[in-house]
Amino acid sequence: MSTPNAARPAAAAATALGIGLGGFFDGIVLHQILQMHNMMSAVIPNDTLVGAKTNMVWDGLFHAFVWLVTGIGVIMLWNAARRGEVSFDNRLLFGGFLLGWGLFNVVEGLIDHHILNIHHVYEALGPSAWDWGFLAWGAVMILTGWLLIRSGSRARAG
Amino acid sequence: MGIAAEHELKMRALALGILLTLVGSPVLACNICHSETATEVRHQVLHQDFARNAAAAAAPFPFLLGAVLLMARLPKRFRTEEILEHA
Repeated sequence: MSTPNAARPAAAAATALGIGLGGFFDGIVLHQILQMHNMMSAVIPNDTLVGAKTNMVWDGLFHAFVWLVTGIGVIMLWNAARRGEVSFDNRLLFGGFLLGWGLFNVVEGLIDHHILNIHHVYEALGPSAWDWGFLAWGAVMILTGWLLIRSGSRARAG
Repeated sequence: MGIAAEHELKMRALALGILLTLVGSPVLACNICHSETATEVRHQVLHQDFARNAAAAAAPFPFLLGAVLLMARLPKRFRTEEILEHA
């Protein structure tokens, strides 16, 4: 029988991958498809060709960091899979995804939208309820993910 | 249409295509190109608060990686406690 701690390696790896999922969702959907904001859109206006392209460079740097975290998650998952005592309950995977995605929203939202003010979720409005909605969405994901991980850990231990 | 005429038409189309490419080159804006737009973008990225913007773009990631590291490291401490409990 495994202990709840057997759940940690897979849950931590899934959390790193969840951060990647959240980061890529933000970058692909909000930055590129909907173009609601870009990485520096509150300080470098993106309504000219040069401004949009400059923001695209900073979006690229952001994506590079997200890619790095995703790569770390894949390596962590690989290492977890090689350890015999590690639990791979589905709740750990999906809980980790939600926890990581939620962490991304909360940390990125607090730092970029509220502290540094380098962009806002709906740039056309500047600081707005969209920024708080982004945080709330992240908080709900963190809570749901944490509950799922806890449930998966206990089920395995029992 | 004869073969020579068809060949001439293709050559003209090719020449027109090349000409259009050259006309478009000033707005070709790959960031390593020698165009006005690319030069302006490079200037805006590298010479206007580069360090501040790079630090801002990177800022959330140490915290996120720290959270993952914390999750990955916690079990070791707990395992030690379990071993001590069973000893």
